[in-house]
Amino acid sequence: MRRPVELMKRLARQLEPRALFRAPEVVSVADDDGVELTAVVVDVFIPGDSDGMAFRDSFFEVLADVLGPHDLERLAVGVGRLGPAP
Amino acid sequence: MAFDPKVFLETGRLLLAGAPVSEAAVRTACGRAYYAVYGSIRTRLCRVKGVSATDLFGRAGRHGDVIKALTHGSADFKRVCAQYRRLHITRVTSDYRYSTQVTRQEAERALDDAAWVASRLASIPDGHFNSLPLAPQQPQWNAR
Repeated sequence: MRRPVELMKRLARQLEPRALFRAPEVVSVADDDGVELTAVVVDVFIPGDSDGMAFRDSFFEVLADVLGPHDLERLAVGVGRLGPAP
Repeated sequence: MAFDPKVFLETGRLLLAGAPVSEAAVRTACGRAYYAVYGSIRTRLCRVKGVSATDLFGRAGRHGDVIKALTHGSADFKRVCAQYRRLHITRVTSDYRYSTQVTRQEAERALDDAAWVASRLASIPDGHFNSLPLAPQQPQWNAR
């Protein structure tokens, strides 16, 4: 998953050059339905003065376009804030 | 009028509004973030497919099946699936993994992610929901 994660980071930085990332982590969880799901979790952190909704609109549209289904189905991406919100 | 699960987002924000915020409130807020979106998907799917929640989701909720359906749905759903998967992992961690720390910042992130996913899902036409690959389950008869 290194290539898709690096691609994801590059796309995020193109939209928000100040973006930072949590180190990727492989996480497996099983819910009440008993289905175990494994994903690579990567959180993107954008500055507090950045428009988080607009960033998500652009970022996830491009991400879904460039990643193949096999990579897309293994990524779990959160978008957090750096520093205090305005 | 039926309850709108997106109201859970407001509940989640209220849970984080105090100072200090307890770990229980943080973990509960993460759950509300996930269920605001999961509940919205569930309600919408039942309406457009014309089936009951019991027929479509059974007793265990089919959380994994919903994630897979979003991933293999139309482009609209593919755009939200990575965020939805993150919400699910945060919720399961908050509810069941007590040795893993869950912070207020993570709960705030989950609520923001959920608000975005919910707004995107609301803009997707009914026809796209109807074509999501999530069929009603076969009835499971009790053998006894």
